[in-house]
Amino acid sequence: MSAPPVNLDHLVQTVPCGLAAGRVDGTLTWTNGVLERWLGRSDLSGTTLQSVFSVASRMLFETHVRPLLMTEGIASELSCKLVRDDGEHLPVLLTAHYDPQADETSAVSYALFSAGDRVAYEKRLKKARAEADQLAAIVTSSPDGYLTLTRSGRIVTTNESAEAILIVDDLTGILIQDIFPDASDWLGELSANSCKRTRIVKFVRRSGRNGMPLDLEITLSPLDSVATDLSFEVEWQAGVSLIVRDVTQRMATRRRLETTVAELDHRVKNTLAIVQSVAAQTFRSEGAEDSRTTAFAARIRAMADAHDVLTERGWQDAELTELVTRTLQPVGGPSEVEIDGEPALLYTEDAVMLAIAIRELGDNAARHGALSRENGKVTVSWGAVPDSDAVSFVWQETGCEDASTSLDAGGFGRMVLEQALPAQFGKPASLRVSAQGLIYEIEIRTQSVSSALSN
Amino acid sequence: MGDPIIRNAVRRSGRPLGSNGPALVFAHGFGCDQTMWNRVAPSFEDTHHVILYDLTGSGSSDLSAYDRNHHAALQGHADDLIEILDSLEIEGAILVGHSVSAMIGALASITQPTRIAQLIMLAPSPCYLEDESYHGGFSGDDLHELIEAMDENYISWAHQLASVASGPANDSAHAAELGRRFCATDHRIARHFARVTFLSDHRTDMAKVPVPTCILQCSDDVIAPAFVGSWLEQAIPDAALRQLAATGHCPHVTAPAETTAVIRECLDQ
Repeated sequence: MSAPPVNLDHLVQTVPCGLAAGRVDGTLTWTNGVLERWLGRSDLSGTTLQSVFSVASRMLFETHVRPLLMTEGIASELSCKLVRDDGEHLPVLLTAHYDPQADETSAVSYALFSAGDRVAYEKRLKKARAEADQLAAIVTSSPDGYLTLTRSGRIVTTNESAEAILIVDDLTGILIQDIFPDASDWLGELSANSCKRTRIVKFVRRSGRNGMPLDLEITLSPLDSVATDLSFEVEWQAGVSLIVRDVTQRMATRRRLETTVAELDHRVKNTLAIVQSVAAQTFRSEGAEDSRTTAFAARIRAMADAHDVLTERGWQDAELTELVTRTLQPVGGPSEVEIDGEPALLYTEDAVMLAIAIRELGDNAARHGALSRENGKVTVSWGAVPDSDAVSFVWQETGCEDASTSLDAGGFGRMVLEQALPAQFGKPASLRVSAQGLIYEIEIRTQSVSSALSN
Repeated sequence: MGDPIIRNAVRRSGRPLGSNGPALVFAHGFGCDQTMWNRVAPSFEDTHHVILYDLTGSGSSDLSAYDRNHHAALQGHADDLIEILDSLEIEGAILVGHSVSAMIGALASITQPTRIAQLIMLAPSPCYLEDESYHGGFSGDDLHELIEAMDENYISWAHQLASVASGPANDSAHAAELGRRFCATDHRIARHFARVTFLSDHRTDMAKVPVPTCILQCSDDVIAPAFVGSWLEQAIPDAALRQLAATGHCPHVTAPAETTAVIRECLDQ
């Protein structure tokens, strides 16, 4: 070999890594300038490399590195920490080589690379991986099926539950369209909305094990990652996540509940109809006036209407506009009755009593008040009471100059409006006659009142 | 419970069992497996029935047999050793235990005195942690850092274990096979075993060791320092301390000739 063009000694002293050589027993016979500078000392000969390691690195060296080195001749890229003269720890990657044929003073050679940045990076990586592993463990053990799909619908990954729910042994590589014929539409819907954070939920019924029907809830959403943000399509790359849940039990419970509620509703209305006909028969045989029979029938009808409103909303609440509209339907159309208020959800226990009261007002207006006049009109309005969930409810009749009220003191209507309703809401009511006609006001509690509800 | 011979990858060689003299069992220490004894054990095949095995969870042992409850203390490994001796019907064996296996052997001899007749402890320590009057050499922080260092090295470790198998240092297919499994173990087991090993404290058990015991103390051993060797000599009733010139914690790897000679001296006593 020709003479090297560089000063080898200078190179060895300044090359950007620590170099050392030593005996089999670990004692060092030579170190380069870089290693000495890192450690802040120049008296390393005669000591061992382990002696400048941190305690843990020393343990690792003795239990793992040295046996490997002595039996296999090499130990590569091991992460260790050197302890500098000032006590600072310096992370390094150590590679050691053992040559039994070499001179005994340099049987073992060492190269050390500074690895501070790399060690810090790997630590972050390890933490991220641990977090990802935890999430993966949740997905693996979940009773719900998790799948990732390419944008064209080919299944990339699944968990075991997905294969159990869909009754396919190996889903990987299969087109989702072969499992759910509608899946093409779902994927189309998803890609049409892909710029937003979309989630599409579908319910599907398919045949399960033993041919029993299986209700599935399917949630599709785009996979949010750097790779999928790229606009070009990569055939093998997952771009969509699909979660499949077995909701057979839930759907069965819901159907049972719906049937039960419908049946109950039917029976209650049936009962009200029976009460009405029994009353009619009774009043007739006793020779009661027709007007009293009619009034009674109207009150029962108001209760039945309120009941309908409640049933339609699953007995969760009753919406005020709906309740007022339905209750006043037999009394007058939109040209005579103006309803004006933001949507408000009543408590179920308040709905029936309020309906009866409104019906009393309506009947009174039709027989004696504004609705019995040529240009008479009723305005039912309400507005939110600040800082509360209540609304101030106002019944106002106009076009009825010579108004008086037939709501007799001690009569049913007056009792409902002045006693029963205030007792129901725990608020005073005001029933009076103005120059234009009758006015009734009361504050009504609600579950919520909001312009947002109108949407 | 599976067959302990398979579970612990037991390898037997040398003279037939029971032909003449006791069986010689070599037990490896923390970090590796039975291949650690490759430079020492063959020397005894002329004179003894030689038994090598891997601790459960190490080397070629059945990793599925590693039970975090059973192996939460060294006694679990001692019970494994007794099961091996039971299944081979060996009485009065001589156990050469390196590092943590010195304690495993001691616990086995206390549990089942008829199976083991003599202990040869290579670089032993009954307790690695420091306390006021005992200088085990390590703090809890050191141990934590060791486990972190094992984590940091896990990937490069696994990689080079695969690559050394075909490296120039191996001159036969057999060596390649040994290299492939050299020190290889499940990462999580290694972490657990590190904790069990370095948090163990069997100082009070040492007075109960019922058999003659040789303590082989290395020079400049950070894992089992000189203080610990002297302490053991005092604590074990029938103990003899021998100082080795070899440095470090693995004299059977770095100085096999001296280690072999000293073990033979212990056997002849």
